Amino acid sequence: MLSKLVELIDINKYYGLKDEKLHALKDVTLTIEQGDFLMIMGKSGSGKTTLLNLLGLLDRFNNGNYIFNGKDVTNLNENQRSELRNSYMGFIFQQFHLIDSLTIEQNVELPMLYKENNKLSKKEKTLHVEKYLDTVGLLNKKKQTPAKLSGGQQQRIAIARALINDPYVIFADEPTGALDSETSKDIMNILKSLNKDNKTIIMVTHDGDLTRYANKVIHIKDGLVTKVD
Amino acid sequence: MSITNLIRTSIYSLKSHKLRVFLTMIGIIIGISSVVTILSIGNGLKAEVNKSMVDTSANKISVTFQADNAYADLSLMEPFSKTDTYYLQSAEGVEKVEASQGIAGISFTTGQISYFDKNAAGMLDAPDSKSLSVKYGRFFNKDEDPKKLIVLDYETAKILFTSPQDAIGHGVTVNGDNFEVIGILAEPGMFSLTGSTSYVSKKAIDDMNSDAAISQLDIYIKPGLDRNKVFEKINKELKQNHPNLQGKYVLQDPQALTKALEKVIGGLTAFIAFVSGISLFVGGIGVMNIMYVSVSERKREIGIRRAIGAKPKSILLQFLFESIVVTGIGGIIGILCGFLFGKIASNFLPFPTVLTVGTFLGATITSVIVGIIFGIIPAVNASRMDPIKAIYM
Repeated sequence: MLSKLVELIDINKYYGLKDEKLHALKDVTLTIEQGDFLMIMGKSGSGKTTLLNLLGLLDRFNNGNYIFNGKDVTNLNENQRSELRNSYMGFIFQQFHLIDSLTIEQNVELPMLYKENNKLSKKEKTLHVEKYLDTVGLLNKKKQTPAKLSGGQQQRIAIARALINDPYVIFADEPTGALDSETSKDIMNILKSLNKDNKTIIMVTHDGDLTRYANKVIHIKDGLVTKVD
Repeated sequence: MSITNLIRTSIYSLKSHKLRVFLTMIGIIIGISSVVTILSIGNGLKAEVNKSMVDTSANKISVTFQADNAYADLSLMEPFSKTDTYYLQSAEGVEKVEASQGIAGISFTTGQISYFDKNAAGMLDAPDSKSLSVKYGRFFNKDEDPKKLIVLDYETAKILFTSPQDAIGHGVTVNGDNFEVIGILAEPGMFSLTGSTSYVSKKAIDDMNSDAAISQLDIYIKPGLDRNKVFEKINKELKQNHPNLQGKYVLQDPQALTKALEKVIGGLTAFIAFVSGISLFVGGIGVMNIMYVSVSERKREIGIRRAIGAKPKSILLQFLFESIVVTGIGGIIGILCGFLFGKIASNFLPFPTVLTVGTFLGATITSVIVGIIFGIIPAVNASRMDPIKAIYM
């Protein structure tokens, strides 16, 4: 793993058709080091989630270059992007986005099922799932479905799922946005402890109080990076 | 994604929508079971036809004459003679020769049956392999010589005797010859076609028809011989005996008849199976509809799966596999139901139904193919979804 994990060079992103084009990101250039806890701050509609989706290879930009872990990933096809997401990236969403029809352990196991050349036996996979459920303190809930858990518990399950393939970086889109202040604190502490273990965290938020957890903050307004702290 | 993981992922999803999966299966179950039922009835009928033809005519060949002039009177042409019967008896490969008079291939005749001053006119037939239901007395035994015995039909017995059961043991005359009444047939049903037919031996019928020309020779050949080769020799001999006849001797091959009959039954079965197959098509459309609903309802799930690393191919295979599992399991249940319906149908049919390995395999493969055909478009749609749009829409 290289110390310079992410490099964005003059990224532009447009939405809509020619006449009603919305310039969502304007010439964004950014470097993120391995082990950073980066927060992307901005008002609603500023382009912060768009930037996070581009960094997580969930969306494509119109021009510019993206170097991830020393490799230019600008023109990768869908399969290559899926493989990168699966192996090196973990995702946490505001609405948790667990699959309701699966049990907790099945949800956490899912990224492992999509991993190429995963040679773990079924028993080893189960142990692996249990290890991460234990890390987030919900091993006893493994047979339940997400609907039976509180918001905070669901977000912790989402963190376990994000960690299961031991990614380089975790992308979190307003992970505390749907939680009360106490639960938010718990979630932020989990992210902070992961960061201490050298996991890179890239988080989108509009809550200024949370910047204390980050070592780097970028402010974005109308698609432009206005300030880097 | 490995096959094992693909199966696991699909099974997880199917297990969480049990009712929907079951309802989708119903269409396939109905379609497959009706096709299997029809095919097993058709196969049973074919087997029965084959069996009865082989039973009655394994070593028999029938020779008839076909005149060049289709309107020629065969009784005047006399294409067969008693001398032919005599000489052919000792021909190579021939075991026995029987001559049939009257209309070719038909053994019945008509006659006047009398008891003192009472007379009744009726059809007379010879008993064949079928057993008839007798109301009084008995039918012919296999080992007896029925030359002078008669089984009267119910209506004739009523005309000749005050009450039909009194006829047993009495003598009647048929076209002047004496016969002893040994049985009275059951009263005919409303739609019976053989209602007023009495039964005497084939020999007695042939004697009655003795004035008529021989219309057909039934030749029993020795086992293992090629019937066509034997016929060639017979044909040669007959042509030598009747050099001036304009026409040809024809081999009535019962096996060819069996094959033709089998072909007709096969065609009919295939047609009915095709009609039943329409319900399978409707079932397939049901599967497609449900898969579309499933893809649309599970958009967010598809987005999540894509975000955490599922390739478009994995999503495609997952939905396709789900569709195949639904139709495959539906197909197997359908085959079992079809087998069961076939067995039930056997109770109402004069022959047993037959479920062949071919039908079983064909129905299973068809179910899987239905799953692929009707599941592919929804699965492709699912795989092409943009992860961000799928998650947030």
